[in-house]
Amino acid sequence: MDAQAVTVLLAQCQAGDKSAWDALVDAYWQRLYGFAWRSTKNRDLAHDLVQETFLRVVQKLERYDHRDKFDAWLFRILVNLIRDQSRSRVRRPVRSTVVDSNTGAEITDDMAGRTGHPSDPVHLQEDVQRLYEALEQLPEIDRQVLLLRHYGEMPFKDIAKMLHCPLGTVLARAHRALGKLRVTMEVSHEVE
Amino acid sequence: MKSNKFSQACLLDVSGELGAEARGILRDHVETYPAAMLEYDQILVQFKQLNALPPLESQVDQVSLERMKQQVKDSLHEAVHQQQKAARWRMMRRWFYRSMSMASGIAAAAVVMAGIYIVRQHIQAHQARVMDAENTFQEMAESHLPYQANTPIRLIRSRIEHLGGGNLFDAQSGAGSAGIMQLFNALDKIPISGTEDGESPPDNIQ
Repeated sequence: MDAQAVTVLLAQCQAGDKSAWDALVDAYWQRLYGFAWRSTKNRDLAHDLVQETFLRVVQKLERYDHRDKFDAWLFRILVNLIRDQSRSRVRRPVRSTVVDSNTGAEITDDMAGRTGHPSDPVHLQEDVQRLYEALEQLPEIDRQVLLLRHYGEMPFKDIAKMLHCPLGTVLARAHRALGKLRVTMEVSHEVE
Repeated sequence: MKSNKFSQACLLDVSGELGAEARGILRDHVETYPAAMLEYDQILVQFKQLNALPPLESQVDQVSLERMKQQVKDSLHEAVHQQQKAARWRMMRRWFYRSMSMASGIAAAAVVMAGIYIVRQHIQAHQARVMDAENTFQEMAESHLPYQANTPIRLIRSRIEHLGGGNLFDAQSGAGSAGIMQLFNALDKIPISGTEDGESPPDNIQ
Protein backbone atom coordinates (compact mmCIF):
# COMPACT_ATOMS: atom_id res chain seq x y z
CA MET A 1 0.00 0.00 0.00
CA ASP A 2 1.55 3.32 -1.04
CA ALA A 3 1.88 6.32 1.24
CA GLN A 4 -0.98 8.22 -0.40
CA ALA A 5 -3.40 5.33 0.05
CA VAL A 6 -2.31 4.90 3.66
CA THR A 7 -2.90 8.61 4.34
CA VAL A 8 -6.41 8.41 2.87
CA LEU A 9 -7.15 5.26 4.83
CA LEU A 10 -5.93 6.79 8.07
CA ALA A 11 -8.06 9.89 7.48
CA GLN A 12 -11.10 7.65 7.06
CA CYS A 13 -10.16 5.77 10.22
CA GLN A 14 -9.91 9.03 12.14
CA ALA A 15 -13.38 9.93 10.89
CA GLY A 16 -14.61 6.73 12.55
CA ASP A 17 -15.21 4.70 9.39
CA LYS A 18 -15.27 1.07 10.53
CA SER A 19 -14.73 -0.32 7.04
CA ALA A 20 -11.51 1.72 6.86
CA TRP A 21 -10.35 0.08 10.08
CA ASP A 22 -11.15 -3.30 8.55
CA ALA A 23 -9.07 -2.38 5.50
CA LEU A 24 -6.21 -1.36 7.78
CA VAL A 25 -6.34 -4.71 9.56
CA ASP A 26 -6.47 -6.54 6.23
CA ALA A 27 -3.43 -4.62 5.01
CA TYR A 28 -1.19 -5.09 8.05
CA TRP A 29 -2.45 -7.89 10.25
CA GLN A 30 -0.60 -10.72 8.55
CA ARG A 31 2.78 -9.01 8.60
CA LEU A 32 2.36 -8.01 12.23
CA TYR A 33 1.17 -11.43 13.24
CA GLY A 34 3.99 -13.24 11.42
CA PHE A 35 6.56 -11.07 13.10
CA ALA A 36 4.92 -11.33 16.53
CA TRP A 37 4.54 -15.07 16.28
CA ARG A 38 8.17 -15.65 15.38
CA SER A 39 9.31 -13.16 18.00
CA THR A 40 7.28 -14.61 20.86
CA LYS A 41 7.12 -18.19 19.63
CA ASN A 42 3.54 -18.29 20.84
CA ARG A 43 0.48 -17.99 18.63
CA ASP A 44 -1.97 -16.83 21.27
CA LEU A 45 0.39 -14.29 22.67
CA ALA A 46 1.20 -13.05 19.18
CA HIS A 47 -2.50 -12.69 18.45
CA ASP A 48 -3.05 -10.73 21.68
CA LEU A 49 -0.08 -8.47 21.00
CA VAL A 50 -1.20 -7.71 17.45
CA GLN A 51 -4.70 -6.96 18.71
CA GLU A 52 -3.23 -4.68 21.36
CA THR A 53 -1.14 -2.99 18.67
CA PHE A 54 -4.26 -2.10 16.70
CA LEU A 55 -6.01 -0.91 19.85
CA ARG A 56 -3.05 1.37 20.54
CA VAL A 57 -3.39 2.70 17.02
CA VAL A 58 -7.04 3.56 17.75
CA GLN A 59 -5.95 5.42 20.86
CA LYS A 60 -2.93 7.16 19.37
CA LEU A 61 -3.89 7.81 15.78
CA GLU A 62 -4.60 11.48 16.51
CA ARG A 63 -1.01 11.86 17.66
CA TYR A 64 0.50 10.01 14.69
CA ASP A 65 2.96 12.17 12.79
CA HIS A 66 2.17 11.65 9.10
CA ARG A 67 5.77 12.44 8.14
CA ASP A 68 6.73 9.04 9.60
CA LYS A 69 6.06 5.88 7.68
CA PHE A 70 2.97 4.21 9.04
CA ASP A 71 4.51 0.72 8.77
CA ALA A 72 7.44 1.79 10.90
CA TRP A 73 5.14 3.38 13.48
CA LEU A 74 2.94 0.29 13.61
CA PHE A 75 5.86 -2.10 14.02
CA ARG A 76 7.44 0.17 16.62
CA ILE A 77 4.31 -0.19 18.75
CA LEU A 78 4.39 -3.96 18.32
CA VAL A 79 8.11 -4.22 19.05
CA ASN A 80 7.64 -2.18 22.23
CA LEU A 81 4.76 -4.41 23.30
CA ILE A 82 6.82 -7.54 22.65
CA ARG A 83 9.72 -6.06 24.61
CA ASP A 84 7.47 -5.14 27.54
CA GLN A 85 5.87 -8.54 27.45
CA SER A 86 9.21 -10.35 27.40
CA ARG A 87 10.36 -8.31 30.38
CA SER A 88 7.29 -9.29 32.37
CA ARG A 89 7.67 -12.87 31.16
CA VAL A 90 11.17 -12.98 32.62
CA ARG A 91 9.74 -11.88 35.96
CA ARG A 92 6.68 -14.13 35.87
CA PRO A 93 6.43 -17.04 33.41
CA VAL A 94 2.93 -17.27 31.99
CA ARG A 95 1.09 -20.28 30.65
CA SER A 96 -1.29 -19.95 27.78
CA THR A 97 -3.99 -22.23 26.49
CA VAL A 98 -4.71 -22.80 22.85
CA VAL A 99 -7.59 -24.60 21.24
CA ASP A 100 -6.52 -26.93 18.48
CA SER A 101 -8.43 -25.90 15.36
CA ASN A 102 -8.61 -29.49 14.16
CA THR A 103 -9.46 -31.45 17.30
CA GLY A 104 -10.90 -28.67 19.46
CA ALA A 105 -8.74 -29.88 22.34
CA GLU A 106 -7.09 -27.39 24.67
CA ILE A 107 -3.33 -27.36 24.50
CA THR A 108 -1.29 -25.54 27.10
CA ASP A 109 2.29 -24.51 26.63
CA ASP A 110 4.84 -22.53 28.52
CA MET A 111 5.36 -19.22 26.86
CA ALA A 112 8.99 -19.00 27.89
CA GLY A 113 11.40 -20.61 25.51
CA ARG A 114 9.32 -23.28 23.77
CA THR A 115 10.10 -23.58 20.08
CA GLY A 116 7.28 -23.75 17.62
CA HIS A 117 3.74 -24.55 18.55
CA PRO A 118 2.37 -28.02 19.10
CA SER A 119 -0.83 -27.22 17.26
CA ASP A 120 0.81 -26.07 14.04
CA PRO A 121 -1.28 -27.67 11.31
CA VAL A 122 1.54 -27.84 8.80
CA HIS A 123 4.64 -29.78 9.77
CA LEU A 124 7.68 -27.75 8.99
CA GLN A 125 10.40 -29.24 6.92
CA GLU A 126 13.57 -30.13 8.74
CA ASP A 127 15.62 -27.35 7.17
CA VAL A 128 13.07 -24.78 8.08
CA GLN A 129 12.90 -26.13 11.61
CA ARG A 130 16.66 -25.87 11.84
CA LEU A 131 16.47 -22.34 10.53
CA TYR A 132 14.02 -21.43 13.26
CA GLU A 133 16.27 -22.96 15.84
CA ALA A 134 19.20 -21.05 14.44
CA LEU A 135 17.15 -17.86 14.57
CA GLU A 136 16.38 -18.46 18.22
CA GLN A 137 20.05 -18.72 19.00
CA LEU A 138 20.65 -15.21 17.71
CA PRO A 139 20.79 -12.24 20.07
CA GLU A 140 17.33 -10.70 20.34
CA ILE A 141 18.20 -7.46 18.61
CA ASP A 142 19.77 -9.27 15.64
CA ARG A 143 16.83 -11.66 15.37
CA GLN A 144 14.45 -8.72 15.52
CA VAL A 145 16.09 -7.10 12.51
CA LEU A 146 15.81 -10.27 10.45
CA LEU A 147 12.19 -10.92 11.47
CA LEU A 148 11.20 -7.35 10.74
CA ARG A 149 12.81 -7.65 7.34
CA HIS A 150 11.26 -11.01 6.53
CA TYR A 151 7.84 -11.15 8.24
CA GLY A 152 7.37 -7.42 8.64
CA GLU A 153 8.41 -6.91 5.01
CA MET A 154 10.11 -3.72 6.06
CA PRO A 155 13.07 -2.21 4.21
CA PHE A 156 16.24 -1.87 6.26
CA LYS A 157 15.88 1.92 6.08
CA ASP A 158 12.50 1.75 7.84
CA ILE A 159 13.81 -0.74 10.37
CA ALA A 160 16.58 1.72 11.18
CA LYS A 161 14.03 4.49 11.67
CA MET A 162 11.86 2.25 13.76
CA LEU A 163 14.66 1.15 16.03
CA HIS A 164 16.08 4.71 16.21
CA CYS A 165 19.52 3.69 15.03
CA PRO A 166 21.63 4.42 11.92
CA LEU A 167 21.08 2.39 8.76
CA GLY A 168 24.69 1.19 8.93
CA THR A 169 24.08 -0.31 12.37
CA VAL A 170 20.99 -2.17 11.19
CA LEU A 171 22.81 -3.47 8.12
CA ALA A 172 25.75 -4.55 10.23
CA ARG A 173 23.41 -6.40 12.59
CA ALA A 174 21.62 -8.05 9.68
CA HIS A 175 24.91 -9.06 8.08
CA ARG A 176 26.21 -10.48 11.34
CA ALA A 177 22.94 -12.31 12.02
CA LEU A 178 22.82 -13.79 8.51
CA GLY A 179 26.41 -14.95 8.89
CA LYS A 180 25.61 -16.61 12.21
CA LEU A 181 22.54 -18.27 10.71
CA ARG A 182 24.66 -19.64 7.91
CA VAL A 183 27.25 -20.99 10.32
CA THR A 184 24.62 -22.54 12.59
CA MET A 185 22.91 -24.21 9.65
CA GLU A 186 26.21 -25.60 8.32
CA VAL A 187 27.17 -26.92 11.74
CA SER A 188 23.81 -28.65 12.18
CA HIS A 189 24.17 -30.24 8.73
CA GLU A 190 27.67 -31.49 9.64
CA VAL A 191 26.38 -32.95 12.93
CA GLU A 192 23.78 -34.94 11.04
CA MET B 1 35.45 0.46 -1.03
CA LYS B 2 35.68 -0.48 2.66
CA SER B 3 34.75 -4.02 3.57
CA ASN B 4 31.88 -3.18 5.93
CA LYS B 5 30.47 -0.58 3.54
CA PHE B 6 30.72 -3.11 0.75
CA SER B 7 28.86 -5.81 2.66
CA GLN B 8 26.18 -3.31 3.65
CA ALA B 9 25.79 -2.23 0.04
CA CYS B 10 25.54 -5.90 -1.00
CA LEU B 11 22.88 -6.49 1.63
CA LEU B 12 20.88 -3.48 0.42
CA ASP B 13 21.25 -4.70 -3.15
CA VAL B 14 20.08 -8.25 -2.51
CA SER B 15 17.26 -6.78 -0.43
CA GLY B 16 16.25 -4.65 -3.43
CA GLU B 17 16.71 -1.36 -1.62
CA LEU B 18 19.71 0.06 -3.43
CA GLY B 19 19.23 2.97 -5.80
CA ALA B 20 20.01 2.61 -9.51
CA GLU B 21 23.18 4.70 -9.43
CA ALA B 22 24.64 2.96 -6.37
CA ARG B 23 23.69 -0.36 -7.87
CA GLY B 24 25.66 0.41 -11.03
CA ILE B 25 28.74 1.30 -8.99
CA LEU B 26 28.39 -1.88 -6.96
CA ARG B 27 28.05 -4.02 -10.08
CA ASP B 28 31.20 -2.48 -11.54
CA HIS B 29 33.08 -3.14 -8.32
CA VAL B 30 31.87 -6.74 -8.09
CA GLU B 31 32.75 -7.45 -11.72
CA THR B 32 36.20 -5.93 -11.29
CA TYR B 33 37.26 -7.76 -8.11
CA PRO B 34 36.76 -11.56 -7.80
CA ALA B 35 36.91 -11.40 -3.99
CA ALA B 36 34.10 -8.88 -4.05
CA MET B 37 32.12 -11.17 -6.32
CA LEU B 38 32.65 -14.02 -3.85
CA GLU B 39 31.45 -11.96 -0.90
CA TYR B 40 28.46 -10.70 -2.86
CA ASP B 41 27.42 -14.24 -3.70
CA GLN B 42 27.85 -15.27 -0.07
CA ILE B 43 25.57 -12.47 1.13
CA LEU B 44 23.05 -13.31 -1.57
CA VAL B 45 22.93 -16.94 -0.42
CA GLN B 46 22.55 -15.90 3.22
CA PHE B 47 19.73 -13.55 2.37
CA LYS B 48 17.96 -16.15 0.23
CA GLN B 49 18.26 -18.51 3.14
CA LEU B 50 16.24 -16.08 5.20
CA ASN B 51 13.67 -15.93 2.46
CA ALA B 52 13.37 -19.70 2.80
CA LEU B 53 11.43 -19.12 6.00
CA PRO B 54 7.90 -20.18 5.11
CA PRO B 55 5.21 -17.54 4.90
CA LEU B 56 2.52 -17.38 7.52
CA GLU B 57 -0.16 -18.84 5.25
CA SER B 58 1.74 -22.10 4.94
CA GLN B 59 2.03 -22.48 8.70
CA VAL B 60 -1.45 -21.62 9.87
CA ASP B 61 -4.66 -22.73 8.21
CA GLN B 62 -6.65 -20.04 6.47
CA VAL B 63 -9.68 -20.52 8.69
CA SER B 64 -7.66 -19.80 11.81
CA LEU B 65 -6.05 -16.79 10.18
CA GLU B 66 -9.42 -15.37 9.18
CA ARG B 67 -10.89 -16.06 12.60
CA MET B 68 -8.02 -14.28 14.36
CA LYS B 69 -8.22 -11.38 11.94
CA GLN B 70 -11.95 -11.10 12.53
CA GLN B 71 -11.38 -11.06 16.28
CA VAL B 72 -9.00 -8.15 15.84
CA LYS B 73 -11.56 -6.34 13.69
CA ASP B 74 -14.32 -6.92 16.24
CA SER B 75 -12.21 -5.61 19.09
CA LEU B 76 -11.26 -2.61 16.94
CA HIS B 77 -14.90 -1.86 16.17
CA GLU B 78 -15.68 -1.99 19.87
CA ALA B 79 -12.74 0.28 20.67
CA VAL B 80 -13.74 2.75 17.95
CA HIS B 81 -17.32 2.69 19.24
CA GLN B 82 -16.13 3.36 22.79
CA GLN B 83 -13.88 6.14 21.55
CA GLN B 84 -16.73 7.78 19.61
CA LYS B 85 -18.97 7.46 22.65
CA ALA B 86 -16.31 9.05 24.83
CA ALA B 87 -15.84 11.83 22.28
CA ARG B 88 -19.60 12.49 22.18
CA TRP B 89 -19.70 12.56 25.96
CA ARG B 90 -16.76 14.98 26.06
CA MET B 91 -18.49 17.20 23.49
CA MET B 92 -21.74 17.16 25.44
CA ARG B 93 -19.93 17.95 28.65
CA ARG B 94 -18.06 20.80 26.96
CA TRP B 95 -21.33 22.11 25.51
CA PHE B 96 -22.99 21.85 28.94
CA TYR B 97 -20.14 23.73 30.62
CA ARG B 98 -20.22 26.39 27.93
CA SER B 99 -23.99 26.78 28.27
CA MET B 100 -23.71 26.89 32.01
CA SER B 101 -20.96 29.48 31.93
CA MET B 102 -22.99 31.54 29.43
CA ALA B 103 -26.11 31.27 31.60
CA SER B 104 -24.04 32.13 34.66
CA GLY B 105 -22.67 35.17 32.87
CA ILE B 106 -26.13 36.30 31.86
CA ALA B 107 -27.45 35.70 35.38
CA ALA B 108 -24.51 37.58 36.88
CA ALA B 109 -25.09 40.47 34.49
CA ALA B 110 -28.80 40.49 35.38
CA VAL B 111 -27.98 40.52 39.09
CA VAL B 112 -25.55 43.38 38.58
CA MET B 113 -28.11 45.32 36.51
CA ALA B 114 -30.80 44.69 39.12
CA GLY B 115 -28.41 45.77 41.85
CA ILE B 116 -27.59 48.94 39.98
CA TYR B 117 -31.28 49.62 39.43
CA ILE B 118 -32.11 49.06 43.09
CA VAL B 119 -29.25 51.27 44.24
CA ARG B 120 -30.30 53.99 41.83
CA GLN B 121 -33.87 53.73 43.03
CA HIS B 122 -32.65 53.94 46.60
CA ILE B 123 -30.49 56.97 45.84
CA GLN B 124 -33.34 58.67 44.00
CA ALA B 125 -35.72 57.96 46.87
CA HIS B 126 -33.15 59.28 49.33
CA GLN B 127 -32.62 62.40 47.25
CA ALA B 128 -36.37 62.88 47.04
CA ARG B 129 -36.67 62.54 50.80
CA VAL B 130 -33.86 65.04 51.30
CA MET B 131 -35.53 67.39 48.87
CA ASP B 132 -38.82 66.97 50.68
CA ALA B 133 -37.17 67.59 54.00
CA GLU B 134 -35.42 70.67 52.65
CA ASN B 135 -38.67 71.95 51.25
CA THR B 136 -40.42 71.23 54.51
CA PHE B 137 -37.71 73.05 56.43
CA GLN B 138 -37.88 75.88 53.99
CA GLU B 139 -41.61 76.10 54.31
CA MET B 140 -41.45 75.78 58.06
CA ALA B 141 -38.72 78.33 58.27
CA GLU B 142 -40.61 80.69 56.03
CA SER B 143 -43.82 80.14 57.94
CA HIS B 144 -42.18 80.88 61.33
CA LEU B 145 -40.05 83.89 60.53
CA PRO B 146 -40.33 86.75 63.07
CA TYR B 147 -41.50 89.33 60.55
CA GLN B 148 -44.50 87.30 59.57
CA ALA B 149 -47.82 88.55 60.75
CA ASN B 150 -49.03 85.52 62.54
CA THR B 151 -45.98 84.84 64.72
CA PRO B 152 -46.31 85.54 68.44
CA ILE B 153 -43.31 87.86 68.40
CA ARG B 154 -44.81 89.84 65.58
CA LEU B 155 -48.10 89.97 67.35
CA ILE B 156 -46.49 91.30 70.53
CA ARG B 157 -44.44 93.73 68.53
CA SER B 158 -47.41 94.99 66.62
CA ARG B 159 -49.35 95.35 69.82
CA ILE B 160 -46.52 97.26 71.39
CA GLU B 161 -46.30 99.45 68.32
CA HIS B 162 -49.97 99.79 68.45
CA LEU B 163 -49.68 100.78 72.07
CA GLY B 164 -46.95 103.31 71.31
CA GLY B 165 -48.97 104.80 68.46
CA GLY B 166 -50.97 107.17 70.73
CA ASN B 167 -54.08 105.17 70.91
CA LEU B 168 -53.64 104.27 74.54
CA PHE B 169 -56.63 106.19 75.63
CA ASP B 170 -58.74 105.43 72.73
CA ALA B 171 -62.32 105.11 73.88
CA GLN B 172 -63.02 102.27 71.48
CA SER B 173 -60.38 100.12 73.13
CA GLY B 174 -61.53 100.47 76.61
CA ALA B 175 -60.53 97.02 77.75
CA GLY B 176 -56.97 97.49 76.43
CA SER B 177 -56.73 100.95 77.96
CA ALA B 178 -57.78 99.63 81.29
CA GLY B 179 -55.04 97.03 81.05
CA ILE B 180 -52.45 99.56 80.08
CA MET B 181 -53.56 101.84 82.90
CA GLN B 182 -53.11 99.00 85.31
CA LEU B 183 -49.67 98.41 83.89
CA PHE B 184 -48.70 102.06 84.32
CA ASN B 185 -49.99 102.10 87.85
CA ALA B 186 -48.01 99.09 88.69
CA LEU B 187 -44.93 100.65 87.19
CA ASP B 188 -45.45 103.77 89.22
CA LYS B 189 -45.49 101.76 92.39
CA ILE B 190 -42.09 100.27 91.71
CA PRO B 191 -39.48 102.20 93.63
CA ILE B 192 -36.72 103.58 91.46
CA SER B 193 -33.44 103.39 93.39
CA GLY B 194 -31.73 106.50 92.04
CA THR B 195 -34.76 108.85 92.13
CA GLU B 196 -35.57 108.67 95.87
CA ASP B 197 -31.96 109.40 96.76
CA GLY B 198 -31.98 112.42 94.49
CA GLU B 199 -29.97 110.68 91.81
CA SER B 200 -30.96 110.31 88.20
CA PRO B 201 -32.15 106.87 87.04
CA PRO B 202 -29.71 104.69 85.12
CA ASP B 203 -29.64 105.10 81.34
CA ASN B 204 -30.64 101.64 80.61
CA ILE B 205 -34.01 102.10 82.40
CA GLN B 206 -34.83 105.05 80.26
